[in-house]
Amino acid sequence: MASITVEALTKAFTSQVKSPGLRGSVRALLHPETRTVLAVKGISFAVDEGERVAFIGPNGAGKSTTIKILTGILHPTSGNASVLGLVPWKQRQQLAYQIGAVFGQKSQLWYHLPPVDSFDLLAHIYALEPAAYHERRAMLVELFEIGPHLQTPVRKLSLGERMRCEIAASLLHRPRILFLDEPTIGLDVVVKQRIRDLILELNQQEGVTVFLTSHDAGDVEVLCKRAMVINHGEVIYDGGVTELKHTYLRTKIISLKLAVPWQGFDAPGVTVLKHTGYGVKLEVDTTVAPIEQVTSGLLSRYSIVDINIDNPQMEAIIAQIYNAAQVV
Amino acid sequence: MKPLRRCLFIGRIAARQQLAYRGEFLMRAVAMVIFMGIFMALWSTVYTVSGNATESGYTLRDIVWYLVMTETVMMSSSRIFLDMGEAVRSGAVAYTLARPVSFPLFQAATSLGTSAPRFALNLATGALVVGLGVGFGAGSLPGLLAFLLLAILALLLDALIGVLIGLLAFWMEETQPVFWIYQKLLFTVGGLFLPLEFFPDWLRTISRWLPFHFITYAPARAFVAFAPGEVARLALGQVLYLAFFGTLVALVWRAAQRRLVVQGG
Amino acid sequence: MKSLGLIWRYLRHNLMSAMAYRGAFVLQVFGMLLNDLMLLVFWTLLFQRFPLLNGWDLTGVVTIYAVSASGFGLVVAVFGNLTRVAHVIASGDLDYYLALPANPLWHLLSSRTNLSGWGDLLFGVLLYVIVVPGGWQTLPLYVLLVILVALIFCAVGVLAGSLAFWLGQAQDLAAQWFNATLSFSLYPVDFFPGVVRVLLYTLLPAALVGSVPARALLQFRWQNLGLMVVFTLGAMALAQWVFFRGLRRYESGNMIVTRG
Repeated sequence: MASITVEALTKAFTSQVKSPGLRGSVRALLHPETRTVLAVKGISFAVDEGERVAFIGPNGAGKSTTIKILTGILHPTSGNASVLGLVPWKQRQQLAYQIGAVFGQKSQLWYHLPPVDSFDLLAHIYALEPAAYHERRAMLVELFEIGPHLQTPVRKLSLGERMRCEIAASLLHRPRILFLDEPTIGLDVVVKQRIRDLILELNQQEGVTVFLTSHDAGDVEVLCKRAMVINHGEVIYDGGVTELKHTYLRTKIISLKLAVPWQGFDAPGVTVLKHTGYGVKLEVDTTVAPIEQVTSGLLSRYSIVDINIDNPQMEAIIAQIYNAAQVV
Repeated sequence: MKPLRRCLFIGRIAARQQLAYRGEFLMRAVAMVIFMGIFMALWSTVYTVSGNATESGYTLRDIVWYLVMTETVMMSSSRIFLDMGEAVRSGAVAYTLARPVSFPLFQAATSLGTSAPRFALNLATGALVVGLGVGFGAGSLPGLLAFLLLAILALLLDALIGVLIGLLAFWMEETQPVFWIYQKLLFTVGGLFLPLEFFPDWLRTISRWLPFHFITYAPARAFVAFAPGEVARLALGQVLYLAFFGTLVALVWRAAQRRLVVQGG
Repeated sequence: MKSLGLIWRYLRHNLMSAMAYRGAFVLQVFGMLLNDLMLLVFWTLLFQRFPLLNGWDLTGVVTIYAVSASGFGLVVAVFGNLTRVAHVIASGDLDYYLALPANPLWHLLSSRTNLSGWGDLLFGVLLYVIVVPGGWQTLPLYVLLVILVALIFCAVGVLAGSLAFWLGQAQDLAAQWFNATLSFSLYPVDFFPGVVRVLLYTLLPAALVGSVPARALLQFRWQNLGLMVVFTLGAMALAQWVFFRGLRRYESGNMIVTRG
């Protein structure tokens, strides 16, 4: 069953153009000069219930505008969208009961109060039955292991502890879709992994649809099966995360440890990323130079102690897609 | 002379920053217009009701111009204590110890620099509104010069008191209430709304010994009723209080530094 | 009704949050109380020389202070964000309220408290108890008037703040509009010339949060109360309509003024 469908969704922002100086300000007041910017250009897609989708793109590509339309915060200029059978900007309040949103950079917890107070308040806002709320809270407290932090003022929690409380807070009302906007921003590697595990577990246990935006390639690779890449307000890729990697995976990285000093290796499609005496890192464009050909060439020329062939990181893949899109 | 030059430079930067917030700047002018409107309405009522041409030696025109001058000084006052409180709470104040200009001196210069453009704007707006409302024929040229001199000293005094309130942030979580009280002392015993001549004798005597009337009453009085002897007396009072508050700021700052060292900022 | 529950919840939360810094709370409340009291010194001195000005004496002006300060204090204590509506809109912080299922306007307004507002409220109540003549029989009327005054302040704050939907950066303008209403309210409306008076009954409804309710409290007439009720309902309806109208134009954090 489709939980989100979007058809030809467009959002235009009009921004004021103002000349500098007081004269410009006055003129802008009398004859406002405006410029229209299309943040989202007629995008269409559908997400099924229980799917985990990554929504990726550079800053200003239109991803947060799309999310804000889907959560009812913004009204679109044209197009249709349906989230859980509701039109977000017309039935915002009804929809809000069934979705959860985590904005990594904005807190919904009260800074000076312990999280449990904010939980109580949210329970009231979402009109949860006391018994159901307490049961749900106990379950989340156990799952997220936030029991010890529940009574501590938020300002005294570490970022990781706070983030776990944030996500737990947005799950109190059992949302059917979870919108995550940069949920791991600013967290260290261990905490990041922890948050990802929790989100995965929740998706598997309760079938929550996960709609994620992140600049963190790890988030996308670990959490999502499907990725949508958006740039300049248009969806330029919609498919599996694995396919995404294969499609755009034109390069491989070869790391070598040599028995003899490096003396260079000239071949089309091979670039030296860095070399330090006996160690060297090469990038191979596999469409120009097949990987077997490069490795055999290297083996015939050097005595090799160790060899390692890697795929580039998600970041690199995404960067490549953007670059390709910019050329078009 | 070097520290003075430095302070002038700091002040100039603060003044430029003020001018950058054009919207806010314009809104200050609007506020000035509103206040002057209220005062003109109020005092017109008073003079109509009393039927006298002068009250305690002030004509309607005098009193309205007096209010332009007090409000000009009052509304030019910076809220330096807010920034200082922020610097103390965030611990940023610790870095200023390493700087060649002392923290209170830096803040006082910033405060004065913030006040200067506001002062010019408030004076121009207020004078225009009131001139159109009750006529321009108040004060005198020597009165205006005396006003400018006493207003500069007044703003200096106000900056020192502002810094003193700001330094209290080392001991108090919230210094805003102290500022309110200071502001209201200017309103009342400072003669912001009502010249000291209108006070009952006992209150006037008390007010004359307090520092507050040197900030609001003194420059305005010099403008509407210029008398060399009185101006000299007021200026002397300002200088004495400047010395007093300057010493107080230095002492409090020393105590604050000790606290900073103990607490580690 | 559901919004009332939410407002009540937030009031409790706000107070709990404020109690985390008890010293600052007490200081702000009593600082504001003292601050307001000193404003009355001016009127005391003035009325000593001129006991009656256009039908107003010291008691009359103190009654104005009693209702205006109580109403203002009440509204900013309960709706602490009232003076920050334009900021919340322009900065995109409205997103947070729109993502939750409560009424975004009431939610936004009540999610904060203004500590000094409690001082104003306390000041207003004290003036009522000590100075305003008429004894305890006037208490229900006083309470009703204060609520009406608070709602008119609320309508002005929301209308002024909603300018940000259309103008973007409207913080200064909104603050000025709201503050002008407050400043004018503390002076008897009969002091002002005709043109200004019209303004004080409409765009800057200072008369309706000062002189009119004070007069209603001193010399009760149904017309005064009727005027207050009708105006309050109209202003609140207009404010709500404008806010939700503006919501359609809301641009989240995307409001950019490009310089060209």
